Amino acid sequence: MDFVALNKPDPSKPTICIIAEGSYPYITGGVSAWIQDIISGLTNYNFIIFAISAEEDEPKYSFPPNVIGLVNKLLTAPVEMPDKKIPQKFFTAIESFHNDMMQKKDFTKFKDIFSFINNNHYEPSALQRHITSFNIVTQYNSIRNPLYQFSDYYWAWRSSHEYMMKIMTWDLPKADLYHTISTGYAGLCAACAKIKYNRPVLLTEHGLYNKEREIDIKRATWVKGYQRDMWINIFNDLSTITYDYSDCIISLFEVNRNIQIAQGAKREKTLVIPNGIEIDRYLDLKTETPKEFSIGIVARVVPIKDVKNFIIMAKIVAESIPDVKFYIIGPTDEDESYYEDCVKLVENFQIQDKVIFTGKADVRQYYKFLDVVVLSSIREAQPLVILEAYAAGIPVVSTRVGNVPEMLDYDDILLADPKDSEKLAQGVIYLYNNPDYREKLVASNRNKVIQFYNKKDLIATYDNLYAKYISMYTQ
Amino acid sequence: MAGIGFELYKILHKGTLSSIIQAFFLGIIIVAGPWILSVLTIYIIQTYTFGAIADNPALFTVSIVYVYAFSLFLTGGFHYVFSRYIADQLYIENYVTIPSALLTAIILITIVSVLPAIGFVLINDFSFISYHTLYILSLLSLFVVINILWIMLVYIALLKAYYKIFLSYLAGTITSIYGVLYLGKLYGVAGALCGYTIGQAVIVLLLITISQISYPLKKFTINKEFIASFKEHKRIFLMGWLFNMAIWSDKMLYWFLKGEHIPGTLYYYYIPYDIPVFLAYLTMIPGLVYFLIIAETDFHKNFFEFISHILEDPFRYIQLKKQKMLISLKNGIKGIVFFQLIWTVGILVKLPQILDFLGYSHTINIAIMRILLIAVFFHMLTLNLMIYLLYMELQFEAAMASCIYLVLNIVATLFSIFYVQWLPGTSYMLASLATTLYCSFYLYKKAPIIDFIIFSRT
Repeated sequence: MDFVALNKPDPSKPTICIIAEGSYPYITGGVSAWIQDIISGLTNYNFIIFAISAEEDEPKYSFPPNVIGLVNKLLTAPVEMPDKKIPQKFFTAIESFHNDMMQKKDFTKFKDIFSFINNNHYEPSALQRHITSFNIVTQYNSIRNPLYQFSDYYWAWRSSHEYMMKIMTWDLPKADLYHTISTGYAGLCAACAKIKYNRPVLLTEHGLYNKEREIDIKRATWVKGYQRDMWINIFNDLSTITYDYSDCIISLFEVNRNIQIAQGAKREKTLVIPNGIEIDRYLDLKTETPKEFSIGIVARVVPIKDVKNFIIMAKIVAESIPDVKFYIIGPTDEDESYYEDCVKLVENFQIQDKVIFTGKADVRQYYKFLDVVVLSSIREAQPLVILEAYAAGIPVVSTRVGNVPEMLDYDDILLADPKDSEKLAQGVIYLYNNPDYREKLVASNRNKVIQFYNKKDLIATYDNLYAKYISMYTQ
Repeated sequence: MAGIGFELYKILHKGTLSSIIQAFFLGIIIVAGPWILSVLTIYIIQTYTFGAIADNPALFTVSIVYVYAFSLFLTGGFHYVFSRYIADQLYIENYVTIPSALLTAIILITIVSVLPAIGFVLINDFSFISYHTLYILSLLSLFVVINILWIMLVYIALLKAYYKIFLSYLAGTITSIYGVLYLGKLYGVAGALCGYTIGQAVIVLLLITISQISYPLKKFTINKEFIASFKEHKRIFLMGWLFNMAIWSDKMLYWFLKGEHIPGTLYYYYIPYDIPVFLAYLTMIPGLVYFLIIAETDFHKNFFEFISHILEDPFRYIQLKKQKMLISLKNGIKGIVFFQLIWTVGILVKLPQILDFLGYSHTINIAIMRILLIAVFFHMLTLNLMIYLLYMELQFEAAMASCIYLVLNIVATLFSIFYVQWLPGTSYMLASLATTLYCSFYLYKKAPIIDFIIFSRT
């Protein structure tokens, strides 16, 4: 196991293994910040971070003293195991698992597959390069993909199953509870841990992993023909497997919870725990009133935040409001070519004097004077930015993504479809022209945050959940 | 590399008797030109021009046999990699790299062949030969020339100029015979060898000239990609190298363990086995020609039909094309076996008369000849099966087959010489039979799952 020991564990405290895929501690953002909050808030537990990433990277967070170890697993790293003869009964198990899954949506035989691979240390590529595997693949190909290129089907199978089988060979650290922050490969790890160590598994989904992957896959030009369906099916199935093996399935808001249930999560296991912020840090920050009307977006300059959409909106708003300033607050170095595109767009619109890229910054300095916070993202779960802006006393205009409509009380004035810069601009202009309405929003939003989105409550809830499930499994 | 095979196939399919004879005649020139002509030349020289090499007839023949045997023994692997590289370039239609690969091959093979040849000359004492400096220089040159000739033999399969190729062989052979006669009279064995070498050099130069017409070398460059391809094709290299070692190992063991010796030299020869071997080798030609013109061309067509669609077609169509290819493979092998069998059996039946006609009835043991005819039948079959294995990307199995061939031939020959006193050729026959079975087994086992093999290797 590639376990890097960090701080000395406190033996009197239970150990939680956080399983994070493509986020903490290597990628900054909402999910990673949330994990950091949970760890620093719950000092009565030891934490092990099990991070799954696509490539080698440096941690972007400094680990709190209760983080005792880090395991970084690369999905792309080859797994080397000694050559072994694979018995026929493995393939019988594989076929029986697939039949149950395809015909009855029953995933119970997953544990047979996992135990087989994990106990015997089979090399994933050896399993895939076996003639029986090939025969199984051609058999399913003739059912599911009879009219199109076989090679597409084969490659989709090779690449998707290679990752899954690799994960099944991994050694997982021992812990008292496994907390996975998504379904997908992280969820698969959690399911494996559950089978191997029989410890409780908690799942917190910020977005919905399978739905997000589905959007990615539909957009990707390199995924051809049936490959698309196969990948989407696999991500859906991975979600279902994660739900099956989780003791408690947490979503941030009701809509996602219902989608989880539709994907196979048992209702009695599901729970909604919204995000939380440190309200005191933001409460009534807004103290300054600059002469320009100030509009900000708090986001990393990356495609998913659709900063270009914000810039187009800025152009439209600038035509109606003469004294206006736009602040793009967030790191610009994550996708430099996208950032350059954004700068060029600003120059083409000739609004350089009105748009400021702040780079990575302390957002609270900007909450002091911003009049409106805009969110132009293509995809969000339950953005912390909205909660912060609410606490700071700033109204929000946003695209209709994730939990945002509910957070904005389904107020059509403030909501726009993704990519609809015109509608975003109309929302901003409406707020500019209606100060009374702005006042009203500020008051009601602030109350809502204090009541429902307090970080203290969030931490306390997780503390209780951890304790409950750990004791449930130790009795 | 079935390029010229297709051309001959076209001639064959004109359907007239003369076109059939023509196609097979040209096929013989392509598969066995220099090799038949060398046997023929030596035969003519020994039969009619004894006087020219009278002072040491064995020395002249043994020198030439050593050059042929050791050139194949040393560089057999090289030919297969070169052939594969050229075939790959043709497949991707990258014609510019072909002449520079030839140039690179010639330079490499010259370097590789000169060093051991100089070593050989140094450990021998040739001072007893009159004009021994001329002899040594001729021997060195002949070794390099013959090594280049093997490379050209691979290369000319590309060219459509088979008449020019035939004329080159003819011109070279006449030069060789005349050279042996003329220079042999003046300078004895040294002169004869020099004359022979000049004739072979003429063949090489003419073939290079012909190749320049088809694929002109525009710039004098070394093809580094070709050199690098040895790493990728190391199994092919091994297969070719070990195969040639295998088929020569029993002959060499007989030379060194039972043969006669020319004092002062490392030259050994074993007349009771050497002459039948070279005659028996000639019987392989019909099978090789059949493979070149009929079996390989048909298989090549079906194989590439299969390969070029494997990434684009639905599974059902891939299977259909695979079935067609497998049928072609089966028919090809059946055809070769049938064709070669009739021929071999025919010779076996009429063997006494044939030996009588050739004037060998007193020098050749008819039993050894019979064993050798059967051995050569399996030797030829093994060679063709190995080419099929290479088509199927079963390089490991092909290399293993060569390895088995070599080990079995050495072990069985030693066993035969020291323990059981089998007739010479028995060990070679058994090793050839075993290797044929080995190759057939893997072809039978792996060819039907070639789609799996291709997908799982990528």
